[in-house]
Amino acid sequence: MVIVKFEKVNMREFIPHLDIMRVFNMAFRRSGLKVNYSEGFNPHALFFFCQPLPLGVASRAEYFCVSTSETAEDVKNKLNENLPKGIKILKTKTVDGDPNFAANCGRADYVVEFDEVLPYFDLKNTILKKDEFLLTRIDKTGQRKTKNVRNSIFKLSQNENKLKMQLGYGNENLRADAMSKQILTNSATHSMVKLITKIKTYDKNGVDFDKKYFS
Amino acid sequence: MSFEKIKHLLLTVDKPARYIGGEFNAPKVKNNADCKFLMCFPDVYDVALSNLGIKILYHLLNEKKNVSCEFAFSPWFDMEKLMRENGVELYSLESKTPAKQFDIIGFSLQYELSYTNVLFMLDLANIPFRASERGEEFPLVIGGGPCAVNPHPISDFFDLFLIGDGEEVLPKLCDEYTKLKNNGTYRKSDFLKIVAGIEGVFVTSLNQESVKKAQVKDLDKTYFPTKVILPNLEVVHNRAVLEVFRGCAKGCRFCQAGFICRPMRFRKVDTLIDLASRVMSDIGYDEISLSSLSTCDYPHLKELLEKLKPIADEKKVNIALPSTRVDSFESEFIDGARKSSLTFAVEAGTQRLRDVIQKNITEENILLSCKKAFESGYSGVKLYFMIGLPTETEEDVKEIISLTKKIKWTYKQYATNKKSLRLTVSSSVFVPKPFTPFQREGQMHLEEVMKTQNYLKFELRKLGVKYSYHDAKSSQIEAILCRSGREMSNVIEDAYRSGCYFDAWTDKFHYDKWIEALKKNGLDPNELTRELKGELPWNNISVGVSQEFLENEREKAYKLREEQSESI
Repeated sequence: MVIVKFEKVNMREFIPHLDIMRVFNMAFRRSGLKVNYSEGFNPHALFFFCQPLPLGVASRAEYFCVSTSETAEDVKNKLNENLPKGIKILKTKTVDGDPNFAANCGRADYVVEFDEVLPYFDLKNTILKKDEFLLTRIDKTGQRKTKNVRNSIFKLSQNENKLKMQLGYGNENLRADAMSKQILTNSATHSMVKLITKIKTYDKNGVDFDKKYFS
Repeated sequence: MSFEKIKHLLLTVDKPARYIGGEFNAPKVKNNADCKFLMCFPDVYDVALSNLGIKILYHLLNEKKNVSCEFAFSPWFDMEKLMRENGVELYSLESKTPAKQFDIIGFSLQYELSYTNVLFMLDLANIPFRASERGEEFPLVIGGGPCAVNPHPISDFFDLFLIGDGEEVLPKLCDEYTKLKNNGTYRKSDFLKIVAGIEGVFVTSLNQESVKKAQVKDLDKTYFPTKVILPNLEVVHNRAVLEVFRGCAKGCRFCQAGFICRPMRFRKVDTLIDLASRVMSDIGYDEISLSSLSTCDYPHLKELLEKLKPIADEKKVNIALPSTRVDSFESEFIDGARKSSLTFAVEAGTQRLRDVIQKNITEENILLSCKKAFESGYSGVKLYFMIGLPTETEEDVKEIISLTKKIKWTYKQYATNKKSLRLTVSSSVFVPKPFTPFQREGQMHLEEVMKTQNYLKFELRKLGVKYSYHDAKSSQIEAILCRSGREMSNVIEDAYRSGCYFDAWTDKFHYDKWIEALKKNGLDPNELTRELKGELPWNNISVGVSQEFLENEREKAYKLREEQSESI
């Protein structure tokens, strides 16, 4: 098994998760790296991804595990020769078993950039010091649904026209795009989100995946 | 760059990956190229990038030092809206350069119902529709592909057409352009006069008396790309494609491709193996399709498969054989493949009608192939028929039902699979096409087509067979568009202006608007789909088969009808 950290930037954030899996599948084929396949009628390459990113969210901290006997070094170098611009392997490491990233992830850091200069949001008093933060969204059937997501908000800060947030990722998932929109709605701000980039992934206790799995 | 204006709004459209470029294997854009070529396909990304032709020419042009070729496709309705609202013109996928800034814009014309999308793309690019309205400041607009064999209906919109194979003519055209441009003497009209002398080039403003199609002589030595651009999204045909040969050995009398792609030209087994191995390692698909009009007619198919299979197996790549006809069913080959469904293009219900159209398969063939397939585990069969073929009678339609019954019976007898039989019958509508023996035939009346479709729907439902059919109305418009002359340009423009585009998408097709556009120009759809008498609009084009030969073939078809009715 080899675990992989990669980034998905430079407009590749518009490529859906399924197609990203296809990108890796094909990159492995092109690079000649051998991957183990599942048994059965419809064998597929054994990749174990983390919670999928929403479409449009870029990331500098994505992880997956692949069942292969190739060296970590080879996986990194050869894959990088075979990936489209914007998708890049940052780190690889050989491990004994699948660490199950999907089950272990708990939080993520995001940087949200806006198209205009933002007003000052009093994030501390309006959100962090409160027990409740209501997120309203329209579900697939067109109904408005409101939910308290305060437990999935860990950190929030503003730096001029950027927001930095640490949100639940995985089981108690809170989407950064939905969160940003809600903050804008609540403050009646008309600016728009330009780019959301996920910059770190943590486990449920807030330990950085890099530290937990790659050191 | 205007694309930047909408980048952060891309999430508001469906499948934004269609519009961002950056595909793997896309060659680097040469900013200082002498000739900047924009390869356009008048449909959405997913359809466009399933087409092999544009990918061959795209990579071929990009291998030339002084040429840079980029892609542009039709944006979907939501993206169109976004672009118009933000003043973003049609741009190239790779460098996001506005279409207007290219030297040559080439459209691939694969089906007549995409003609309005050519106008749609010119509209989005802010380029005037008519060649006569485009001055020196606008790019040349050229067309090619199978529809170009009768370029007249759309010739007002184009400066020139390439008729036939593009691999040799298109680079020549770019070279001529570069030459004139570099010595500072480029003028559109001069350029057009010069290239009118190249075989396969039809210049619309000169309306040459006779144009011969361009033809690649030695396919084996003809360029074929192996590092093929890889779509960002799953597209219609998501697999590597290898063109085994060009042309078709069968002379099915309704089939345009069979006549306009003659003669047959093959790639050698060793060439194909070499290409296939490179395609597999350069692209990384898990399926490779051996493509042609009838791959089972490749004379060395067995040798090719025997050599290819171990290479493909090692890379866990499936080999797909499309366009497999009944009479060449390779039972030994399918043994190793996944056993799902079998497709037969039967076309007509009776042997008589199959003889008329020269579809050389018999009921015996079909049932024997089914028997073999069922015995080896297949549980699905798809049957394709065509409604309204010349000389068709009620009997021919009824026989579709009885053949279906026989297949059901065969399954009962020989099936080894415990699943129940999945039988699907599909019918299209016969469209008389230029350069076929049936080019002059009338098309069956709308009402009659629908009557037949209803009959089949009713009868097949009783048998529990799934039936799907192609819309009669769009087939009528297709027949009109493919056989008309220059007068059709006005109709196409009127149709587009009244809201017709993406006509090939069933739910976007507006029959009433097309009829209105025809009426406005004093044309009657029933008149236009009648038997054609006298001079044919495409008489100045030659695709290699003579009009005498085609008339002869038509006579032969009719003789068969008479002989057989005598014997009854």
